[in-house]
Amino acid sequence: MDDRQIEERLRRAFPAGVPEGLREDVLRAARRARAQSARRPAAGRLRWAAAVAAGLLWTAAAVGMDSARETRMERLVLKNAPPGITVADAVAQIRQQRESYYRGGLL
Amino acid sequence: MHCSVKEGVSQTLQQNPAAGINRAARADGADDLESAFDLHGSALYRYALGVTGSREDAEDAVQEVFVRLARAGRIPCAGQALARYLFRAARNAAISALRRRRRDRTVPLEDGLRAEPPGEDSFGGLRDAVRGLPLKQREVLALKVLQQMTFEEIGAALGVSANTAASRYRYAIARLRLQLEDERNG
Repeated sequence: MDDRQIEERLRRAFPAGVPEGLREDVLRAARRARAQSARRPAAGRLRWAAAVAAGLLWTAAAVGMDSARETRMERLVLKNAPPGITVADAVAQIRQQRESYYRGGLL
Repeated sequence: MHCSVKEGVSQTLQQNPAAGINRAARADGADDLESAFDLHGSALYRYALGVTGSREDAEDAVQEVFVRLARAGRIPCAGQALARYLFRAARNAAISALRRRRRDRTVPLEDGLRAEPPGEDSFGGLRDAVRGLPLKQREVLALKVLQQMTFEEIGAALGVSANTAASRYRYAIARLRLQLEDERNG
């Protein structure tokens, strides 16, 4: 049995297409998630990210944290961001906070 | 959420690169989630099925991908970038499903029956053989055979060299060939 024959059998064993009902189930779950997420105001999410970032940076400054640990802290912030917040938004907020602390000589 | 994932995802996942589906609604009334599912859902499911070897895990993985996409509030990118993002998300979800299964170690009887309906087709043995492959080989096999990606594309998508991808594929095919020949010889 050559490679092509095995590949052909694999394609038949794993046929294209989705199981019946999956499309509807997935779209229903996704729309529910979107509706729940939309109920949280965007400004509130950004304030949350900024507040957490500020708190972490204060902590980092207090313990003399190195940049690698700060980066890990940032990842922690992003990982724990509430549903709906985009990484781009959170990163922008965190960077803005960081820059303002640097400018103020706090870090 | 961002779409800056590695290059090299299948043409199958990029069925319509020019499609601007980052819109609130299509002319026919379908929303952006529906459009994204119609464009990529089948390819994502097939890929997840190839990686997990389980219909239930593949369905869960696809659902997780689209729920995460929905939580972003709006679809964050379109065309090829969206296809790459969805592929990356499906990969993460499929691997998470495998880890959960390994941790739980048990499969409800009903799920087991649904995963492999008796007498549905004659490929049960082959699917079992695929499930028995190491994850790295299974993943390359799914991308090469089911998504028809080149080794360069697979390597770029998985963060390995094209040679490594080709090597994993050859090992996988060799193991499947042995399995199939054993079956044939009874």
